[in-house]
Amino acid sequence: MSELFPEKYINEYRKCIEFRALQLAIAKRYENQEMRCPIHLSIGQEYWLPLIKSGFRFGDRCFSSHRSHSMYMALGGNIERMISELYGSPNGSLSGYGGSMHLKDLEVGLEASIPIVGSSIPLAIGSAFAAKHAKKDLMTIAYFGDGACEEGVFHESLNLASLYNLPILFICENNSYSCNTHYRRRQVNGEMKRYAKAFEIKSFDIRETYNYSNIESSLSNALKLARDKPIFLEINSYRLYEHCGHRIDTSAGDRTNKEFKYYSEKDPIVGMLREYEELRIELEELSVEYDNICEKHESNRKDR
Amino acid sequence: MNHQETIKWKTKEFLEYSKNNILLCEGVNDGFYGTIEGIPELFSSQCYELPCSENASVGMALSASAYELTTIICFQRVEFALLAIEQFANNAAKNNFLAGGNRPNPCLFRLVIGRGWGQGPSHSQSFESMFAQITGLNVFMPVFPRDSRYIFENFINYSSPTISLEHRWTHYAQDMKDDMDTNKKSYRVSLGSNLTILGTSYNVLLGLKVVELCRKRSIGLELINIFSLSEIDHDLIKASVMKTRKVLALDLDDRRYSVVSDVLCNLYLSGVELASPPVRLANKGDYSPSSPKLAKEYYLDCCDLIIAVCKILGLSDEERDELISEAVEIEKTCRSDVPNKEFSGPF
Repeated sequence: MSELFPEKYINEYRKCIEFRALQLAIAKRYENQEMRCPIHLSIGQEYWLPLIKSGFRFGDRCFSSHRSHSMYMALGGNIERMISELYGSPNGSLSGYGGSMHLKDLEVGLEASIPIVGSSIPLAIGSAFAAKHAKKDLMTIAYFGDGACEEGVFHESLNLASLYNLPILFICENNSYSCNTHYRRRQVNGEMKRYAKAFEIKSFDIRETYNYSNIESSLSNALKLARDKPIFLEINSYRLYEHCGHRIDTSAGDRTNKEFKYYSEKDPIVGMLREYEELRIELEELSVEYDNICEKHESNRKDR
Repeated sequence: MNHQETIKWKTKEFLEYSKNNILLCEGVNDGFYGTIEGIPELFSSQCYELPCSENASVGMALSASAYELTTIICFQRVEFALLAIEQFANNAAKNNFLAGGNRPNPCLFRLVIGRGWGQGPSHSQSFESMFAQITGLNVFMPVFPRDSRYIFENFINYSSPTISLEHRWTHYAQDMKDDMDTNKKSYRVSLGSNLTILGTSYNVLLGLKVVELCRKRSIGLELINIFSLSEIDHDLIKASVMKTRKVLALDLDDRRYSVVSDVLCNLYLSGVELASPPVRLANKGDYSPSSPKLAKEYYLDCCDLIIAVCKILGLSDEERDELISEAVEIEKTCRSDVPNKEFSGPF
C-alpha cells in the first residue's frame, strides 16, 4: 500500500483526476482565443480540493479569489455551466456576466469569487457575522492566496473574526507566488499562519509532504472547529502553469527551471497516477469528455 | 423634533423592528452626535463596537446584509469611509449584480460631513460625486428630518446599499411646513417664479435664508433640494427652470464633475432655454482651512448667494446692498464656525 496515497482515499484521487482533466482541457482550448476572459488555472494545486466537500454542509458559504476554478470544482459546481461561463455563454454559471474570475454557484455555496486580491475576505466575515448573530449553524470559508496576506483588509478581517469569535475557516493557499513574484521579494517570512497567531486564531497547516492521511486529518479538524470559532489553515501547493493563461512558464518572473522541474516531479497527481494505473485511463477519458464540451461551444460560435 | 432627534427615533424603530437589524459604529456608546445616544443601552445585543477597520467593516456589513442581517454603519467623517472605498466600489452593489439579483443587500452607511470649529481639510470633505459615481449605490444628502425619515423608511427595501452623507450642521434642522413635497427624491423647499436655486446638503439651509430675505421684497425663489444623488428628479428641476428660466446652482465642494454640473448638463441636453446663463457657486478653494477666519473665507455664505441672485435677476446695487446688510445682521447672531449658539466643539 502506498504510504502517501492510501487506497481508502481512491474516490478523492478520482476527483483530483477529474479536476486535472478539466483544467487541461481548458488550457488546451484557451489558445484558440474563444474563451475570452482571463483564466487562472490551478494545475498542480488540486490535491487537497476533494477533501473540502466532506466537511462543507448544505447552507455553508464560501468566498473565493480570482483563482476561482479551484473552489468551484471542490464544492461541486456545475461543470458544464462553468465551461459555458468561460465561453461567455448565457447558459454560464453567471449568464456570461462574470467569466472565470467571478465564478459562483449559489446552489453549492460558492457565494462569490472576486479578482481584487483580498477583497472577498470581508464578505466572508459578513457571512460569518450574520450567521453567528442570527444563531444559524453554518460555517463560512474565506479562500485566498499568500498575496492576499499582504493586504490591509486581510489583517482587519482576521481581527474582526477573532474579536467577534466568528465561525469561519480562513484557507490560505500558499503557492509562493503572487503573479510571477516569489514571496521572498514580498514578505519577510514564507509562513502565512504566523498572522493567525497575532490575532490569537488557532491554525493548522498542510505542507508539501503530500501524505494524504495527514492532509485529510488537518482539513477535517479545521473544518470541524471552524463551526464554532475562527480557524486558519495554510496549505502549501505549487502552481505548475503561469499565473494567468494556459502556458507552462519557466521564463517569466522568479521561477527557475530547476524549481519547476523539482515540483513537476513532485506533482501529487503524478504520484496518484503512479500508484493507481486505472486513474490514467480516467484522466484520458475525462480530458476527451471536457474537450468535447469545449468543442461544442467553439463550433456553435463559429456557426454564428 | 429636529434632524438629530429624528435619526435617533428612526434608529430605535429600526432596531425594534427585528433582532436581526444591527447597528455598527466606532464608539457606539459615544452617542454619535446625539443621533444614537442611549440606543446601545436599550439594544445591547444589536449594537456592535467596531475596530478601526473601515474597509473590512464595510465589507462585513454589506455582505451580512445579503444574508440574515440588515445593518447600519456610522462613520464619524466621510474621510474615514475613504479607507473603505475599495469595498464600496468593488463589492457593494456588484456582488448582487453578479449573482443575477439573488443577493440583495440593503444596508445603510451614515457618513458625516464636518464643518467649522477647526475641522480643517481632513474632516470637512463630502465627496458626494465620487460616491454617486459608484453604480448601484443609493446616495442621499439629507437636510431636513423628513429626508432622514425617507432614508430610514426606504433603504431596507432597496436591493443595494445606501449612503447617507449627513452634514453635521444639518443635525439641527427642523422640518418646513407640511406642504413640502414629501416622499420624493428631489423636491421643492420653496415655491417661486423668479429664479430656481438648486442645492444639496447644508447649502439648502443657506439657500433657505436667502429665500426668506427675498420673499420680503416679493422676489420668488424656487429652492430645490436635490437630496437623492443617485436618482435626481430631472423632470422636477426642468419644470421649475422652464417656469423661472433662471438658475443658481450650489455645490458643496468646488470640485470638477460635481453634482450640479451634472444637473446643469442635463438641463442643457434637455433643450431648456434660459433667459440668462446659469450660475454655479461652491465653497471657495481647494480644501477647508482650519482657522475660523480662513474657514469663513472658504465657505459660501448668504452674501455670496445674494450677490449671485441679484446679478441673475438684474436687481439694483441698492437692493443688493440692503439684502446683504440684512443677511449680515442674521449671520451676526452666532460665530461663523458654528451652526448655532448652542453648539460647542470639538466636533
